[in-house]
Amino acid sequence: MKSTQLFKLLSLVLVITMLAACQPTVANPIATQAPALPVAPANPIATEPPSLPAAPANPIATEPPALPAAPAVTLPPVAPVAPAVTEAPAAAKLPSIVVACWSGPEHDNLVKVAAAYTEKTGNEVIVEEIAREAYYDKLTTTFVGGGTDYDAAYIMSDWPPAWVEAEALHGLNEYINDPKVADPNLNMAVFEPAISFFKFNGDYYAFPSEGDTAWLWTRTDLMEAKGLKVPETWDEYLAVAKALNNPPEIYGTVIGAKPDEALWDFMYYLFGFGGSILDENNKVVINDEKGVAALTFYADLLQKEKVVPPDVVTYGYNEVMTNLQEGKVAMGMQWMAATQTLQDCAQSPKVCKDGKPLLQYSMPPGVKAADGTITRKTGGSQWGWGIPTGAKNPEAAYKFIEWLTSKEGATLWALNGGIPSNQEALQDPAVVAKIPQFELLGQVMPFRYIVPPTTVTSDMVTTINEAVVAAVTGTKTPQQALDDAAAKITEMLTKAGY
Amino acid sequence: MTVKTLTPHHRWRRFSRQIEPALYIGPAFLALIVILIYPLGYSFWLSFHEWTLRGFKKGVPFVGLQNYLDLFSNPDFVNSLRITFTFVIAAIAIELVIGMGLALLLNHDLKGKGFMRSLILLPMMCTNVVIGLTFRLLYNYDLGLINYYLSQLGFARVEWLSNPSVAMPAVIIVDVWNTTSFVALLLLAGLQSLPDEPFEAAMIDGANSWQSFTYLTLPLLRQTILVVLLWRLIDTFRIFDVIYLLTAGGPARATETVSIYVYRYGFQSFNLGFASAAAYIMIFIMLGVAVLLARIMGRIEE
Repeated sequence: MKSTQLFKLLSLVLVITMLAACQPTVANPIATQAPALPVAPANPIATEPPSLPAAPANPIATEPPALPAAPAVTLPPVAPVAPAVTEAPAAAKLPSIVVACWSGPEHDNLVKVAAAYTEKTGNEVIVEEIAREAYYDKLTTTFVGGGTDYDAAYIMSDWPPAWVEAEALHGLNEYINDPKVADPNLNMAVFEPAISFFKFNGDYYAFPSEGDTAWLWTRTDLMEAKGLKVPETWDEYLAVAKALNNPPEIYGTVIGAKPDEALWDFMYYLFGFGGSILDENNKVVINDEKGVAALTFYADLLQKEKVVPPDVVTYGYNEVMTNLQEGKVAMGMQWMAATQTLQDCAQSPKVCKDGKPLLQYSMPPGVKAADGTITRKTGGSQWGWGIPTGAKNPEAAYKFIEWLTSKEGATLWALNGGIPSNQEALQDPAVVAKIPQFELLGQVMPFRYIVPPTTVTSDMVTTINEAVVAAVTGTKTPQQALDDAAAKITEMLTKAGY
Repeated sequence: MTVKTLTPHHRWRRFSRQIEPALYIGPAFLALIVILIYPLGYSFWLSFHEWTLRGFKKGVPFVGLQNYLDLFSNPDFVNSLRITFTFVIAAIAIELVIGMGLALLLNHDLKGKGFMRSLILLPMMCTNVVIGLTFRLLYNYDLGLINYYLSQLGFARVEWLSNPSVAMPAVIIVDVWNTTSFVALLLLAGLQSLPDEPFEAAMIDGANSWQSFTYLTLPLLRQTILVVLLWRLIDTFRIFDVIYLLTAGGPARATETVSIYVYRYGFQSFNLGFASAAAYIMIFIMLGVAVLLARIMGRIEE
């Protein structure tokens, strides 16, 4: 054979091989364990903007009565409890599922609780950890693109409205109303009020879990040394911050105004001053008198009073946490979920003395009325477990998230460091005895407000983040920053049909 | 005159000879279409349509040039263009000056020249993510090494990443640290390829080092400098990862380049039509500048 012919032949073989490699792999029918469960048809209801849950629309209109300030509480850290699982009758084994969760305590908790589920049912749960920074982007691109990577995911209440409209999230009513699938003891009332954040046009899109809020953390040793009381109002908060401020050794307090997290810190002040983002008619009110007062107070902590570290514009949850743990700040608002870390002397040795934590939590500050009563409001977040429409095994995923948020699963979730939204677990005396901070959580929850879930909430959050950073860095006045944000949010809501 | 008719065998041979090149380049071309041309074309198509997360399942309406017009009336986009140009011009200018200095230094017969050459290449071996995370720690106000040494020397600590007027210089410093070594390496290669004769003649004529540099080295090195300029221009225009890790475009949009703006609209707001239009504006600008530089290079060659 001539060399040119041999070359041509080899080239032809190469081309055929490459084309063959491009063919989709045909699964071996014998290796397929079970046929994929049918995916529910697209939800026709989702073609309209989901209606807002009524609860958080106007904090002022639903203002709860002022509560007496709770004294600072000292608690021992809660040790992780080995999951105790009740035996269940043998059931048909379900296909294994993949559950997405962002990195951090929630992921660690899920791994433990999912192991208990597998032990109980024999159904495999694969937990996939995703970095916090990329979590929303990753889930959105996967869900909206119809990706089959995940069968269930840990989702925040802000996200479902846009996903529902994009037909990317599976409605749960299909399973809840199916006696062959749903647990006969399932009672949706135990998830109130958190479930309202995941209900759109009559359909539930997630089982709630991790309803968090923030507390005021103070260094009791420093307060006692100066004869100070735990602040109950924002004026007192500033006075205490000034009294304890001794930079660069220690700052009076701390804020977290990082560009992509600023609202999640500023909201304690916004709601705390009586402000809101939208009113009950979805009109933007963030730039009203109360909102501007809150942002002025917040920005002044850095700009005028200088009672926070100078680089708070780079601080998010982690940096605020580090400053509290390292004893670099005397006070700070921080999520309740951080309690076990902040009060564990092994994890936060610099803020412990003789094996006892020096950081104590108390009610968030409020606004004092003329009659002397203090009105408190604070920010928070609500998470839950949902199923994307692209899930390969939605029914198996439903069975898992239903169990995870049932009294049994939620109790395990709580005992491993989580905050269940199932009231049966949250108020269980046996659980409260082991996690005493749930008692104060119960007192704070009635005046917790969350960012209103709309189809444009993600953009709304970005816009408010920008306004907060602009005010804190002094590039805009608080009024100007909030006016600009209000104009942008109004335009977004109008375009979205609100 | 005799007319020779082709037999089917000859026809087949001629046909196979004609399609032979296509067969060779076919797979590579197919791969190119799938991974480059199709996404480019699709994003160009998207830039004339309204694609939003909420509405794309109901349809992607054609909006003509609306996305482009909206961008130019959007102060945030105009700001990101300004930030990008500031970053590109400042970073490239500093890198060229320092890179040239390093190249001239390494072009001399210094002791340990080989070791020095290897040493300055170290920053190039780090990935951008590692560089971003490392500098974020170095720039930390309280715990960062840079502020520690500044305070030890009696200077005030600097809010590197939280002060809008300092954040951009801080980001430029990182880029300069990362890429100057490669600029120096390319310029050094150019220097070593220069002929000795003009320099010897200049020395005999009494030219000093500065005159040799300005009248001989720089003009002879123009071609290399333009190549370096073109490469750095394309690279700095599309910078994303280092800035995103350091500041995420903040504070107060002080470091928000067009790439970060595109990312925000594309993958956080999921407004792909708008983001595609912004990306295409950036591509057009880059293309314009690249073509200009290529023409200058062509003229120099002529």
